[in-house]
Parts: sequence; structure tokens; C-alpha cells
Amino acid sequence: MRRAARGSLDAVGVSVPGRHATTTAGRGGVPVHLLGVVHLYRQAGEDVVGLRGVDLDVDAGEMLALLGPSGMGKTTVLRLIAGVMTASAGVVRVGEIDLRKLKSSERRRLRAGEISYIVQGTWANVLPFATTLENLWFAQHGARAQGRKPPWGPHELLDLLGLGRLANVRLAQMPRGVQQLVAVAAGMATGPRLLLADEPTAQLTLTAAFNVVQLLRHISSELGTTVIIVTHDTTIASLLPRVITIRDGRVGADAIRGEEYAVVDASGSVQLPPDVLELLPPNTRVRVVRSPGGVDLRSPDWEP
Amino acid sequence: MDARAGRLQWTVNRRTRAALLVSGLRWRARSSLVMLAVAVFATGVAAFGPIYLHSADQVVLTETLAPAVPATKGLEYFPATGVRTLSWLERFVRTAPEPATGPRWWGTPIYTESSGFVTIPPGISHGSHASVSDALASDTSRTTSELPRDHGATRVQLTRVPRASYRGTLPFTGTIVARTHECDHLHIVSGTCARGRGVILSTRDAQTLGLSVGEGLHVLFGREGRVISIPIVGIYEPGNPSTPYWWEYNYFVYGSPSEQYTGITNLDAVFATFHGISTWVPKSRISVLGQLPYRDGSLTVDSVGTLRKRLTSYEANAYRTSGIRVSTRLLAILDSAGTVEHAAGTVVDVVDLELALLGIFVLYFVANRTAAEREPDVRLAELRGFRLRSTVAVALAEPVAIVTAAVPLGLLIAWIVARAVAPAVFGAGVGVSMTPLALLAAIAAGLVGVGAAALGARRSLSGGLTAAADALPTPGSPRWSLLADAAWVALAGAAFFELVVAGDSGGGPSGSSPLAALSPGLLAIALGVLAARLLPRALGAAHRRTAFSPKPAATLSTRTVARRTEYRTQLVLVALAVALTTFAVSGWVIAARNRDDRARLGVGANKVLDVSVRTGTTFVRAVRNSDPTGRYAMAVVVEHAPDGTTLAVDAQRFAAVATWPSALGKPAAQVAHRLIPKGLAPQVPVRGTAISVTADFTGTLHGSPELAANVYDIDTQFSSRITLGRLRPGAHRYEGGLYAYCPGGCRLLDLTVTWSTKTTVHAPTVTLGITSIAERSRSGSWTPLDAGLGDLHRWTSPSGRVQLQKAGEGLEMRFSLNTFGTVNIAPADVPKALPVVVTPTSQSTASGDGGPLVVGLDGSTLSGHQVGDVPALPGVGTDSVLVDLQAAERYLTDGFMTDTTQVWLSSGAPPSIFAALRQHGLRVVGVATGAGAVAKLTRSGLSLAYLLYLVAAAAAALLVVGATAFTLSSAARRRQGELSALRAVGVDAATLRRAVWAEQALVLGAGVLVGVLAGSVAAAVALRSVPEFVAKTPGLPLQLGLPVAFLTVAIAAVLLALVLTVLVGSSVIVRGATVVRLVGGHR
Repeated sequence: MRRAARGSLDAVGVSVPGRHATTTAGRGGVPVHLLGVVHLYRQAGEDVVGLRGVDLDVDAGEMLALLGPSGMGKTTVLRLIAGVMTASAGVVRVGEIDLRKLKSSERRRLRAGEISYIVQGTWANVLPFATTLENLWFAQHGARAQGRKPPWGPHELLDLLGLGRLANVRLAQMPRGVQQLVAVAAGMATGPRLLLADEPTAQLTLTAAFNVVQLLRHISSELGTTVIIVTHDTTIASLLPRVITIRDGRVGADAIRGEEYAVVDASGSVQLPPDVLELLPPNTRVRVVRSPGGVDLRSPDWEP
Repeated sequence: MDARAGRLQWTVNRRTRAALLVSGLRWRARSSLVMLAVAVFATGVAAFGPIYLHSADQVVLTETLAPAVPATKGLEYFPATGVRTLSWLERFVRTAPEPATGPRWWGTPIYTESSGFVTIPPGISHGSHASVSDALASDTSRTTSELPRDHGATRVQLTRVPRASYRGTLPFTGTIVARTHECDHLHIVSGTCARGRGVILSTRDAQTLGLSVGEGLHVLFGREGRVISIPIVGIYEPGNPSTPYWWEYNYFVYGSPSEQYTGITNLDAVFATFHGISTWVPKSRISVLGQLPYRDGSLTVDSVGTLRKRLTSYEANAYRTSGIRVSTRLLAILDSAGTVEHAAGTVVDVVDLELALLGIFVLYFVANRTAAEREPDVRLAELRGFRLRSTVAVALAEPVAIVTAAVPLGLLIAWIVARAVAPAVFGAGVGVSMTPLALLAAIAAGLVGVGAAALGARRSLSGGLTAAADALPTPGSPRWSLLADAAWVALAGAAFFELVVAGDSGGGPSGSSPLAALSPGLLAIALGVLAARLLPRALGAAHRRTAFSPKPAATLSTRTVARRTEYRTQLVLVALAVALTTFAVSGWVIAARNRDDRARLGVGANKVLDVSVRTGTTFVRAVRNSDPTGRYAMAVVVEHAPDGTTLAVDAQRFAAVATWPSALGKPAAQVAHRLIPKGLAPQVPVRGTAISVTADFTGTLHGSPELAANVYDIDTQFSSRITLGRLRPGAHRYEGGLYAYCPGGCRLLDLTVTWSTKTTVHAPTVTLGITSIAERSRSGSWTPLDAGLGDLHRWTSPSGRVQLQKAGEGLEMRFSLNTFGTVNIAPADVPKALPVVVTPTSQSTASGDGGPLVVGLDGSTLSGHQVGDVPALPGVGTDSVLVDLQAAERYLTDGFMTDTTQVWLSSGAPPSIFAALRQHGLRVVGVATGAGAVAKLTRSGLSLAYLLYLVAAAAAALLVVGATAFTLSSAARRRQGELSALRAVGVDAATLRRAVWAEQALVLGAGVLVGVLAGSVAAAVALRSVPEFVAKTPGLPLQLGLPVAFLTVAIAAVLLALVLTVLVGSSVIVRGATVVRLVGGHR
């Protein structure tokens, strides 16, 4: 599959770098810390709870996926980290910066350098009428306007990401999968230490989606950038080293390298996996029993 | 190195920014082009006004100057003091102001030297003849400036040739003239022009003086001079003094009485060379005159200011430094042209502002509708952490670039369009200039356009990042929207108030204020926003009724229109465009209607012929015989006098022939009928060779009373007194010969008894019984005249002091031979007061008995009897009266004075009428037509200005149709998405199509209704403030009624175009609304 993907990308001049690709020293990643994050939003005149106390720690340079069905709060978590929304309560910290304490202009400044947010839908992240180079120039403009020099120039970045032959191709002329690669590249234009991508593989073919994920993994591994993506696709999520499952506005599970774990939040709550939930329907009383390997949830009627 | 890198980066940034801008514009090519087109329209319209006005002003200037005679627009130089030589004058004339560049203002100067003289009959030496002696007792010098000026360009000169021959027996006065290039303008019939040391005489002079080429003209220059004989070298045909060369000086005044000497008649001028004059005339008696003709077409509107300034200074300096009086009416002409230009400018401003306002509003509309297309770019900029300034730049770069590019494009297109239409509108030779004002207007429109575009694009800035991320529509701010709407309504209210006040007060020559000028547009916007706010509420009320309607289209359309705010803008736009169309059509039609009426009324009839009447021809009879039907031709005499004008018409034909607009109020037939005097006795015609009166005198003879009859020859317009003899006691027949007085027949004016008052001591009362009046035929037999002597009603005594009574079959006069010395009786065929229809200004000259004083055809003042009043009269306008020609002729005892004899023709007059008129002794010397007058007025400044209304109407209609198409087109993708969803749930295409039609019908229908209402109200109120309509000068009342028929056609055409656009657009939208479309979506 990877070979096929390479072939199709080569047709448009794309060479997705492998782990052996030449790298330039990146700026490294930044840790992300969410603690007891609650988010309310108004809908039809009433407050609706979007997030009910999300705890999440992401190490610098780590790459993870926020997985879950639609409406569970994945995108909200990403927007709170990106600073485009403000949490109703809790702590949202990127590196040493508490985003809740920042003013709008400071959060904007952060997005021009430290944090890059790739929103859902390719066209929302690029100028379709512009070339790849122009898109990268545009993406860097915010940083330049603030007097910050991006760590690399557009050409340099494209070479770094193996997209050099796309430099002068207009986005509108590219296949959708390639456009998404450019969108990711544009997200990296300012050399962010945290790259957030909302459904970067949505509406892509599997091959294209794989290429996008490979590029993101490359960014994480070679440049040391912290990468958090949102996806509802378990296949895509499985390609990432860590997967956080968001359910009902909470962290439901944390899977590291294919091993899924339930997560105990700050209040001591644990979300049960769906298959377990069938055995223990809501309002079921359980007995919490220490065991040598951990903690067992037992029915009150259970007799050893 | 860093600096170089910085420069390089700067260059890259600039290039990339430019490349992105261009790419973005190309990406959004459709909306970019639409916005560019609208911006070009707005800026082009703004620039077109001043360009158009500049050319129109040039036409006004040219048209005002062209018909002006040289005497009014050229410069005349008179030495104010002392004796001045020609060479001295020439030196000064050469210093006349000229432009620094471009064509010279003045042509070749004309110089004149002249001096008055008196002819000395042969055989009479200086002082030996009483009349000459009397003449020489006073100053005989007569300068050229004192020559009569002919101010009536179309007037027919009726020169009376002296009846008796004065050949060689009496002196005459005349003027010897040397004038530059005179020989080029005189037709020599004998001999040569005055090239040598001789003079040329007119044919009339030569005939009267009995002189011919080779003989000498004996003249005397001045009282102290000596009689000299000047050789005659040529005879010329008298010229037409109204031709430009003569500068309105009438050198051909043969036969007119001398103004200096009673009883002496003028000759035509005697022309000589300058050298000749200096040889014969004493220097002190030579008058010098310089004339500098204006070169037609040399003055442009741009150089008027310079000319004014320099000419004023020149005139002042001339008198102060050289004692020369420089006379010209050029500045007054320029003032009158300036007044017209100002009025036209106001009209153009009104139209231009309205159109530009519409263009800018459409620009706002387009920017607003296309803002969504640029919104993702703006969101991306926010996402990338752009500062606010940079984000705003992303949002506005394209609209600003488009509008900026539109300024030169608009200017260029305005100029090209102006150049293209110039030959048709302004006529050949009128240039089109890119004026600074046009440039400023385009830039101003561009700036306003940028503001409108920015305002329209603001919604792309007002959303947040989350809105972009969610791709949710950004709700507008109801508060700001409400405030903006309230501001429009307040502004429109203020403008409307201003308009009503200005209209009521009549405004001024400058017309209405700018706020009032904008009021039609403002009113349309205000009513539009009100309607836009009320429509959703009205539709909301219909929701319940349509909730379970079996017609889903109605349900869908009412809800869609009520919910979507973009329809509000569309409604306002439609209302504005339709209002402007309504206003423009009304303005143009009303202006054209009034202009036509005024032009045609000014001429008088479809065709007006100036005619000269052959001697011996009865004018009215000749016209009637030329057109026996009475429908095509009418005899008219116009008597111009300082106190007013008398229009004498053949009342029986007046209604059929004269132009009589309905605005004059009363029907023409009714007015004409009142002009004919009632109850008059028939005239007593005399056609024979002698007349006799049989009279019986009773009483004491004192003072040798003498009986005479006065007759009037209508053909030759002379009255004659026929002495019948001294009265004797008893019955006798008194006779008098008519000789050749009445070759075509005379009218008996009266019978007069005169006596010597010196011998009248006791003033005895006498009786004179008239028993018969007879005429002798050419065969010698006597025939009684039908004088109605037995009918007391047929006779009257104009002199009074006569007691008339019936005596058998005769008439008895009882009167006293008192100190008055005369009495008379006359046929009662002349009305006591002439029935007249007056115009408002003529009513001020009232006679003692309350009726108006009227100038008779022979120049006498008559008492009138007002039988009606009208605002203006055909052909003569105001300050005039209308009388029946035949009734007025009954007052004639002498010839026409300065009258113009005309034949008015109706529109159906056959071409053969000209031959018939000629056959009956009428020679056509000039023709004026109503169509010609209309054509001339069509090229007037105001007319050219009003033409813009028509352009405005078309442009507004085009814009509204285009905007509707753009609305449908720009919403097509989104609507197709919505409709696709409805298709997916089973709504059929026909229902969706009907729903889209119904939506547009609701919005466009409301917009059209509001527009028609606003435009009509604005037209009804505003047109009173537009200069032409404000005119308070008396005349034909302006008709300001709305042209319903024209408006119906115009609005129907706009509606038809809109319906077709909606049909096509909705079909395209519905066709693209498929279930397949619901799968996927892209930017």
C-alpha cells in the first residue's frame, strides 16, 4: 500500500519522506497539559456541556490522536488547545503558557508561531488559487508581521517535507490528498512546536490518508514537533503511537502503541469501554475490589 | 548583506502579495468581474456627468454665440473724445486681447469713416432755398452710430416709396461711408465700386436724384462747408442690413424721414473710399468707427474665464488710457450662456448623483454578496495569527483593488462613451474633454465605492474563527442594521422636507439643494428599507395560513423570504433602481413635453411664413383665396411696439391653424370666437371713380363749412380725403373725384364737415340731412351705395357733438358750428373697443375705461375690450394681446408700421399652398417651423441635460436586471444545496421551481411597487425644484403631471426583463438541485 501511495504521489511530484529523510534541526515540541477542563456552550438559549472535565497530558514531541465519534468533544478539545476557544473551567496549558489567561491578541500571536492549527477541510487551510510556495508565504505572514523570522523558508520547508516539486503548482490543480499534504506543510510554515490537525484525513482515500499520516509522523519524529490530530477513523488512529478516546466530553481511553487503557480522571472517575458497559449498564452498583494486578469491578452479588 | 537580504525579502513579499491578489481575483473571476463592472459603472457615471456637461456647456456657448449678430458679440471702438484718426484707431484695435494658445478670438477688423451730408438740388446754391437753409441752420453731421439699427432679424421691411416725385427739386440727407471691404458686400448694377475718387449711389438714390454714373453729386458737409460735386462712379443695389457684415447698422434707409430735419427724407448711404472721404470731408466732421468681429467657434468653455477677465480689463484700460469706448455685449451673452449652463449643470448633477448613488449601492450589494467568497481567506489569516490590520487587508484587498482599477477604467469608458455619443447628441465638431472635474468625480466615486465595498465586505471580518471552522453563517448585528435603516429614513425625510420647501418656495435659478437633489434615491432607499423590514413580518403572518397549504411552493417561498436577510438588500436595490427609472422617465418625458410645447407655441403654428405683400393686394383676402378650405392657412400680422405686441389673426381660422397647447386652458375655438366683434354695421365699400353725397343743409352758414369724405384703401393702406364741396343751403349733390385712390376698392371712413372757427361767433345749430351716397362707375353712371342711411344703428359720430336722427330714408345730422371746427359721422363698422385676449403681463397696460390699451396695426393706440386671458400666445408669447385681424384693420387709417406679415400654416397644409400664396401676391421671405424650433431647443443646454435622464432610466433598469441575475447566480450553489435536500425528501422539481419564482416575485414585486411609489412621489415633488420646472417667468404653464403611459411602458419593460431573468435563473438553480449534489461539498 505504501508503494502504491508513493507511486501516485510521484505522479504529481511528491515524495513523502521516510525516517531516513534528511532533516534539519527542528524547534522541538512542547508539552500540553489539560486538567479538569470543562466547556459550556449555548445552544437554543440553553447551556450545553461540551466537555465535562478533561484531563490530558501530552509530552513534548509526542504524537497522538483524539479518537471518538462525532459530537463527543474531540474538536472542542483541539480548539481549546489551539486557543481559538476558551475553556469555561480548568487548565489548558501549552508548555508553560496557560491559554485561559491569555488575551485574544496574545493567543493570536501564539498561533503565528508556537501553535499551528489545521482545521477540518482542506480549503480552510490553504488558498486554493495560490501555489504551494505562495501558500507557505501566506502562512508565514503572520509571524513576519510580528517580527518573527520563521525557522525555514518556503523552499527549505518543502524540501524538508519532500514536497519540493509541488512548489509552483496551484492548489486547485492538485488532487485532494496532495492538497492536504500542502495544508499540513502550510501548518508547519512557521515552525510551530505544537501542530494540531482536525480530521486531516477526512474525505481522503486511504492511500492519501496514509500519506498525510506519514507526513505528520515525519514531522513529529524528525522535527520533534508535538502533533495532536483529531480523527474518528480508528484505522488512522491505529497508525499513531498514542490514541486518546473522547467519549461524552471526557477522556474515555488512552491507548499507547495499540494497548488501550481506561483513564482515571482527577475526580477518580473512569469511563468503561463500550463492551464492558454492556455488562455493567448505567446505574449498576459495583463493588471496587483491589486485586494483585489492579482494581476489579464486581457485582454486589458476586461471590468469589 | 542583511540590508540586501531585507530588500530582497521586501521585493519577494511585494511580488507574492501582488501575485496572491491577482490569483485571488482570478479565482473569484465571476464576482470580481461583476464588482469591477459595477465599480466601473459607478465611477464612469460619476465621470461621465462632468464630461457630458463640459461638452453640453460648449454646445450652449456655441449655440448662444452663433446666432448672435456681430454687433453683439464683437467689439466696437468709438473715440470717446476729440478727433481721432483711423490709423490711431487701428493701432489700438491691434491690442485686443487674444488667447495665449488656440484659435484667435477676433477676426479681421472692419473700419468705418462716415459723415452726414445734405444734397443740394441742381441750380440751387447754398442758402437760396428755404428748406435747405432751414436744414443747414442746425448741425447736419450724422455719425454712423446714429444710424438706425435693425434689431428684428426676421422682420419684413415695408418701405414706403414716396408717392410724389422729388426729382431734382428738394434736398435729401444722407451719409457718406467708407467701410473696409464694402465692395465685397454691395451688388454693383452700374459702373464700378468706389475704387477711385468717386462715390457709388443706390439705385433708389440715383432714381430719386435723377443721377447716373459719370454725373456729380452735389452735397454739403456741415453748416459752414461749401457745396462740392463728387463724381458718381457706380450704382449699387441696396443690401440687406441684417447680414453680419453691416453689424446691424442700416445704411439703406432710403425714404425714411430725416431725424434731424423735418420734411427731409433720407437717402441710402453713399459709399466712398477712405481716401475719398478724407479728400472731401472736413476732418472734424468724420466719424471713425472700429469693429472687431468675433470668430465663431473660437471660444471654448475653458477659455471663457480668461476672456472675461482680459476683456474687462481691456475695456477699462481703453477708456482710461486712450479715451476709447470699447462696446460689446459679449459678456452679457456669456452671462446668459452661463445661466443656461448653470441650470443644465444642476440637472446633470441631479441625474449623475442619482446614478452614481445607484451604482455605489449596487457595489455595496455585490461586495456584500461576494464577501462570503473571501471569508475563508480571512479566516485562514486569523488562523495563522495575522494581526488585525493584516486580516483587514486580506478582507479588503480585492474590493479595494477592483474599485481602484475601476477609477481609470471608468474614466476611460466615460470618455469613450462621451466621444461615441458626442456627434449624435452634441453635433459634429463638439469635442469631448477629460476635465479635472471628471477626474475628481471619478476619484470621489472611487473613494465612496471603496467605502461601500468595505462596508459590504465587513461581514467577512465580523465572524470568528469558530464560525469559519464550523462554516456557519455569521449572524448580522440587528442593532447596527436597525440604526443604519433609521439613518436612511431620517436622511430621506430630511431630504424630502427640503425638497418640499424648496419646491414650494420656487427654489432659485440654482435649483434645489444637493440633499433635495438626492431625495429620489434617498426616498427609494428609505421606503425600501421600511418595506424590507415589513415584508418578513407580513410573510410571517402568512405562515400559519400556508402551514398546511396544499401548495408547498407558497409555504417554501414565504418562509425563505421571511428568513433570509439578503432578500432585504435585494428589495432595496430593486426599489432604488425602479425609483430612479421612474424618476428619470418622468423627468425626461415631462421636460421633453414642455420643451416641445414651448417650442411649438413659440413658433405659433406648424409652419410660419414671413411674407411680403405685393402692393395692391388685400392681405387677408389673398390668404383666404389661397386656402379656400380655411383649414390650412391663416393671415397673421404681428405689430411689435415698445409697450407690447399685438398679434392680429384671422380669427375664423385661428383654431384650425394655430398651435394651441391644452396647457393654455381655454379651447382655441372659444378664444377665437370671442375676438370677433358683434353687432357691427357692414362696411360701406367705395369702388368707383367718384363719390357723391346728396345733402340738405338747413340753418345759418358760418365759417364756410365744407363737406368731405374720408376713404381708406386697404390694399395700399392709405386713407384719402375727398373734398365734396362747401355746403349750401338746401338740398344739393356734392361730388368728389376718387382718381386713382381706390383701384381695388376703398372703405368709407366717414363724412366730415369742417368750418373755419375764426368766423364762428354765435355757433348756430344747423341740420344736414344726408339722403344718398353714391359712386360713379368707370362707365360714368352713378350707383347708390348701400350705406344704410335709413338705419340709425349703422351710423355713429366718432367726433361726437352730432345729434343723429332718422329723416325719411335718410339720415339727419344736427350739430353746432362751434369752435371745434369739425364734426363727422361714420358707418358704425368699427367696434368701440377692440376685443382682445390678453396675457398676464399685458393686463398692466390698462386703458382709462378698464380695458387694456392695444397697439393698433398702424402704430396707434387703441382701447381694447378684454374678452379673455391666456398665459401666453402662439408666436409672440407673453406681453402681448390677441386680436382679430379684420377687426383691427377697421381701425386702420394709415399703413402698417413695423408689422410683420405672416401666413401660418397648419400641419395638413398641402405643398401647393406656396404656389397659391405666390399667385395671390404673397412672397415668402422666411420660414419657421415648429419642428425646427423643437430641433433647436433639443440642442439647448437644458435639453441636453435632460437627455441624461433617459440614459439614467436605461442604466438603472439595466443595473436592476443585472443585480437580479447576479443575486440568483451568486446564491445558486447554496440554493442548489438547500433545494437538493428538498428533492431528497421528495419535493418535485416543478414545486421547487415555483417556490423560487414565488420568492423572487415577492421580493421583486415589493421592490418594484416601492420603487414606483418612491419614484413617482419624488418626481411629483422634485421636478418642481429642477431649474426648468421652477421657472417663474410667465408663459406657457408647465405641465408637471406624471407621464402615466410612458411610465407604464418603462416599468412593464423592466418587469418583463426581471421576469425573464428570474425564469432563466430559477430554472438553472432547480436543474442543478439534485440528490447527487448532497454528496460532498467543496469550497
